[in-house]
Amino acid sequence: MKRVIALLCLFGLVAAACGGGDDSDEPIKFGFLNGQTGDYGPWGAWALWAAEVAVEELNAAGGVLGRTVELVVEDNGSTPEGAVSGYAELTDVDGIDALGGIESDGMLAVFDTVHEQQLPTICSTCGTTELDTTGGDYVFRIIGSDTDNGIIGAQVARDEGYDNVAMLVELSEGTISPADVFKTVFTEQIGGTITEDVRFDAGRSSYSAEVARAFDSGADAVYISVGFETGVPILNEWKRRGYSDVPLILTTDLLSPDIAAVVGEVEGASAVVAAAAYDTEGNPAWDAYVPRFEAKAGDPPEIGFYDAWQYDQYIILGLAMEKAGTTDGAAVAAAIPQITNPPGVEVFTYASGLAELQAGNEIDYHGTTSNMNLNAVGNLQSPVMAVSAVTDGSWQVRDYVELDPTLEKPSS
Amino acid sequence: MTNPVFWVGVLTLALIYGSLAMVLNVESGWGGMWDLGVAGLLASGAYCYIILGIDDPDLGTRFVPGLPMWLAWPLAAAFTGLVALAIALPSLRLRREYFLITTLAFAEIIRQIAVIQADLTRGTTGFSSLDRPFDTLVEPRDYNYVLLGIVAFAALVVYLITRRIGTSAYGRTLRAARDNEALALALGKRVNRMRIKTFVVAGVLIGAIAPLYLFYIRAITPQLFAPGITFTIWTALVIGGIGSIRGGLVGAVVLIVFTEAVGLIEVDPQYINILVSIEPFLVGLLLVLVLRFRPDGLISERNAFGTRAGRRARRVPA
Amino acid sequence: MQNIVFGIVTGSTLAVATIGFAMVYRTENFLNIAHAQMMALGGFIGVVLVDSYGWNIFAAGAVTVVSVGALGVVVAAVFFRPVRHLGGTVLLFTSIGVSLMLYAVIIALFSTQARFYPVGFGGRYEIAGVNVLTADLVIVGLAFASIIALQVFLNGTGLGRAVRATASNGELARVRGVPVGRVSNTIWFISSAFGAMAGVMIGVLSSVNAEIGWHHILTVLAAAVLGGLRSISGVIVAGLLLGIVMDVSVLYIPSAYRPVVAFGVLVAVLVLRPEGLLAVQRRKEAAVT
Repeated sequence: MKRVIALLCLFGLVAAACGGGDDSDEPIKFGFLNGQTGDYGPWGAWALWAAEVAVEELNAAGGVLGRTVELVVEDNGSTPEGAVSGYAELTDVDGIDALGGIESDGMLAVFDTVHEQQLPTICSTCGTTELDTTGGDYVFRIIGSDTDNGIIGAQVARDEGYDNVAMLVELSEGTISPADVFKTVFTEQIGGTITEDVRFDAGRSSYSAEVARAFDSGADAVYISVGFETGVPILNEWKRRGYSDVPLILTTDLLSPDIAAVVGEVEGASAVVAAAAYDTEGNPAWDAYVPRFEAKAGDPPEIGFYDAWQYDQYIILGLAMEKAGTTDGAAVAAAIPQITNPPGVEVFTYASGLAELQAGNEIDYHGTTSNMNLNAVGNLQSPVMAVSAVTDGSWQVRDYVELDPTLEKPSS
Repeated sequence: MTNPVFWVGVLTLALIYGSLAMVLNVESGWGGMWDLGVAGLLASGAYCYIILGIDDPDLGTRFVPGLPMWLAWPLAAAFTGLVALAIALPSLRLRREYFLITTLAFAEIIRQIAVIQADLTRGTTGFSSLDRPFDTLVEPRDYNYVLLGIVAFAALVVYLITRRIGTSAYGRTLRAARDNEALALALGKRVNRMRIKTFVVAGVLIGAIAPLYLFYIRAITPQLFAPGITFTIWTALVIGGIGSIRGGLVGAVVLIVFTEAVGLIEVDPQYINILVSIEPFLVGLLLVLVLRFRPDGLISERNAFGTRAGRRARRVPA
Repeated sequence: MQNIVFGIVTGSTLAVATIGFAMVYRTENFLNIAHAQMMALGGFIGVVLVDSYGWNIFAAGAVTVVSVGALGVVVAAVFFRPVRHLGGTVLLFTSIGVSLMLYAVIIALFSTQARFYPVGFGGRYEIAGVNVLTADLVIVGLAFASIIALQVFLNGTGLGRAVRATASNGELARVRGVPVGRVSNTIWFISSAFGAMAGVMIGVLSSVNAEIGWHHILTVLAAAVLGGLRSISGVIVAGLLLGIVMDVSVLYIPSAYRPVVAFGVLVAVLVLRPEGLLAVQRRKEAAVT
């Protein structure tokens, strides 16, 4: 029986492989290359739901260039090797017209290939500092850099009046990178002291010893940069072991309901997340996105799952392709900053953007996560940053904050 | 059918794994050393090659040697041989499961050092935009064919070297010592020394193959060298046939082509859980079925060496 | 002192996780990589019962342990027994194949999202300046209770004695008329059940996701080998010791270097005491000369 299934699958792949071609009746294909399994697996479903919401919106408005849009999903297993082979499959077999969804390490592996093949690519959730200076031609990033996240953490530590801070850092690229910036800025530019810098690999059966070492170091506050599946047990320790009078500074990954639930149970606890945020205040794009995401996912959007960025990227790609009037990669990539930046009529949805473009107007797309204005190297000019705290068992934005211009990006 | 460029990439990866599996066969298949630390040796070669070639001080590393590729490559192979020696000296006092866990531990140590020593390795960020051989001579779009040529040439060289080892008196002694150590010792063979030598030779070869893997990935981070890659190489060897000269190569081509072909299955994104579970399920099933119905692998050692080696599969670890 | 308590908790779960692995090694003569996927499966079944169906944690744990134990018997009958005569190498790689298939089933059934046990057990005590939670006590207590129960079973019942006879000399046991099939089923049931229990414990202490099987197999392997693979008491001591060393070393070693030091210690112990921590007569087996 199992061999029959295997055989059926082989037939399936032959049939799938016979597609292709450049017929203009064919749908436009947007690639979604993402870690559905492996270390990024816990985020995978949220990312995909948001991408699907976006593609449904594009098709509901009549598609792009009058053609329907198809989302081609490929799992990269959260590894660079998976990113390389998944990318090859998306471009060589499926013939995608644009790419989204990919994470930092996979992005860096396919970066050169993307440029050689002139494939418009949006890196919706790449924090890596490597992209701080290298994008803008074919690769665009619509989320704040880890540099920004590290600086905002240090800035908040300063503003809260903490002099001595301990750190708990998981050993992975996405968590080390903002933590290193935080540490440098906090010690060298703000003059604070790191009482303890505890770094550990994920997947341990408990984190009691690490938590004790950080919290027993006499710090005014503890900075925690970990993935959320590690964050829940760590905060449980914080709560149960009686450390809950020590304030916490958390990173974006921890803006999840599970974390809020833990923090919410503690009377008078102080835990703030100083990080990238969704742009929720009076933003029509956000208001339109939330109910549709909730209908698909069964849960409201969560910053810690990075869903809304996955949504924004496909709206941008759709509008840019419409603006370029072609699927040609170079033209579409060139159109991306044109539709995200002023001048132009400010638009918040694909349908309104499409209408303005068809009326011959310039547009300035404003997404669910920021105004999307990009600088010359394809980075956000002003990512939305906020300090969030737990109220009534869920994360609420306390203040939107701007990066203090006196704090500088540390040289590597 | 499908764009051939895709299968060129798949074949490139398969041949890289095939080369590694053929080398693994020398130490594990013939030498009887259950090496679960291939990832560590691969990491040593890859990082040595990359670090020796750093020519941009802006990358923020402590050393900027800027060696040309043709010099960094053999040095990386030699360095990996030294690492192999350092691992072999203590580990080869152990056998079977004990050797296996020791080599695995060394591989993890090497990977963790790559994470921690960020001033040498750039930590978890690693390096990207790597130079590749002959990349200035052809259009980027055609480079995949060039890389396939390079990798195929390398696989041929590895095949010839391992065949030479396998059919030589040295190779026969190695297998004899694996099957009956007491006898080999009684015949005056210096078994332990021979095994160390074999392990170091395997290290040099793995170090020489490592840059090819980087040319395929085009980036390097410590995560590339997680234990998973060792298991893939082992799986390829087991499917192809432990102990046969070509087994690793055949097994790798079967495994990688099968994996990528399975990846071509299209499923509605709604059933994403099913989609992403198909690949590990079918690869696992392939392994189970091959072992059930062809326990010696697709090409058995017996076929590779006539009847000389005899049937080995019954050997139960001590 | 505080960290020793942490270490005992970590070590108890590790010991529970490793016992089943070592039992299979002892009787079936191979390293069963799929054991860790049984842990993951246990963690998931438990969290679904508790979180989605609102079961009591102990009831959920019991059902999980029994059902995964039964699954272990089925997996052994379908996948391992047919290739048993082919030896340890084939069995080892078959178990890697089975791991991949179980991993696939876990993703298909439970998806890749992380899950958390909504149980706290409340309660925190200060005993001589040491911070102890009810959860710590429950976990350590359950671990030891089940280990003792296992010993009672092995020493005090006919079936248990047959298991021990098979473990010490399979051929002899067969000749003497030990019910081989029943013994083998018992071993697989106990092994997988202990794996599932460890999975639930790890889930309660931290979290459950599809990758936890792969994350924990290395530690289990290390504890099993350190314990000398064949001795159950060795495995328990090794598990506890490894747990304590890991948690106490946090105090003395720059934390980033800890994995390096942990594996370094493992290598050193193996090289210096290749027969494992406890065993004395098995030197020949592990050392080449």
